[in-house]
Amino acid sequence: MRKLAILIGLVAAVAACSRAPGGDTLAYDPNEPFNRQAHAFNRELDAAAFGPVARAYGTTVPQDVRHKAANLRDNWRLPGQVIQYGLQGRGTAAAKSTTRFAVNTLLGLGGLLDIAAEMGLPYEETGFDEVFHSWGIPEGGYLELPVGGPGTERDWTGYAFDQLLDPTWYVLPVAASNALLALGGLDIVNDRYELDPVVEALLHESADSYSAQRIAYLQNKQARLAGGTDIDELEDIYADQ
Amino acid sequence: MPISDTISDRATGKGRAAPSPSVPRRSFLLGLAALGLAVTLGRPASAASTAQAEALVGKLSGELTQIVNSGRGEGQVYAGFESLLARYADMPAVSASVLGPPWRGATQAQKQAFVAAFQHYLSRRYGKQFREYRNARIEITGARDGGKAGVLVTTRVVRPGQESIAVDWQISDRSGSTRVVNLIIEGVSMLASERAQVGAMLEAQRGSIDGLIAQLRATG
Repeated sequence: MRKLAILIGLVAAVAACSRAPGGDTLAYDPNEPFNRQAHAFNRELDAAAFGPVARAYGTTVPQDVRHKAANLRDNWRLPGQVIQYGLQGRGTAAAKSTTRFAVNTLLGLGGLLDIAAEMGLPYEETGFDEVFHSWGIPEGGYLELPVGGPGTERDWTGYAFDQLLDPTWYVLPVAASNALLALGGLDIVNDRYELDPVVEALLHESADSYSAQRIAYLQNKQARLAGGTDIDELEDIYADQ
Repeated sequence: MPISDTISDRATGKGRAAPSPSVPRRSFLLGLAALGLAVTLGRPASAASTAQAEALVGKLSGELTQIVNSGRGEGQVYAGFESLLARYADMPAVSASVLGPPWRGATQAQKQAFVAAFQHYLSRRYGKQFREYRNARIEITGARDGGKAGVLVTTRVVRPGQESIAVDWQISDRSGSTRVVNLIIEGVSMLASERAQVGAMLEAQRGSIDGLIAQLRATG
């Protein structure tokens, strides 16, 4: 019953996601004062702990082991993905995720090995952020959370749905769920390591690291949801010259 | 905003007016022929220029991979990137677009100094990322015509053992020669990102363009 109440609260949150006036999402930043405070905190956290831990993990743990950990975590996201693709009306993608999950769980030692990728079924990310996007719900304001990092109002609501509607939490024994949580943490640390030069440039070598991260996040997200750069959004740099 | 300007231009279809009925028939036909010629010449991006844009990116990415894999020192690699920018990008137009309204108030000397300093800054800021692409190869995946904005040539930087990266090159011939006007890495536009960064630097320099130029030049 409590979960139902949380879900209803989240539905109300996503329904409240606002649309940028005039469609100019880069100029629209209703949560800026809060975001900038969170950003200052996150930047210090990254410099003092997250960055150094990620570099230590990346340089001490061999790539092969790091990739196996990521494979395992990704594999157990697939049951949730099947629901997410279903809600987007993407039957083929849901079927691919199902096949991928069966192949890697049964033949790939529970997902440690990514055999499905070699069969032409690579891992593709999705989530409730994409579900809401496909339903036409606007992304809302940019929202940077302390520890959580960058996102939009729609992304953070989607993230909560990802967790609540992940069937593995309800089916797997507690020990396995905890192991997946730990692997999820390592996955984030590994991403931070693999993107180290980009993150360093954005967070620690920018004149205004808040706007650098915000623009990079929002544009990257829009391109991912649209399946590439939108040709109609290109700037005409000769327009005022 | 530049994007909405482009859209409103397209919507109003400004330019070409219909010939008035009082014009004599012969000159009307002549005018029509001239108009046809103007349409052919003035078309911002024809099929030919899509091919030209692709050829430019092919040449440019060949040089880029060569510099990255040359095994030369950091300073020489950055100098190589700077020369690449100068030869393949329309740096004065990119600089004007990034600096925005202050560009119009700048003196000729300041404009020249800004272009050089911004080129230095860009080669370091993006050079650090490109230096990571050692042993990578750049594959052209397509080219799309974006009308007045130019042609978008899409490429993938394929790195052994790591995820590939989508790098798109926006190419325009509006300056008279085919040049790069923007770089879009995984959907993130260099113009949009650097406009915000340069704006923040100018604010920190209390609006002084000379201060901004010195700061850009000092980028290590």
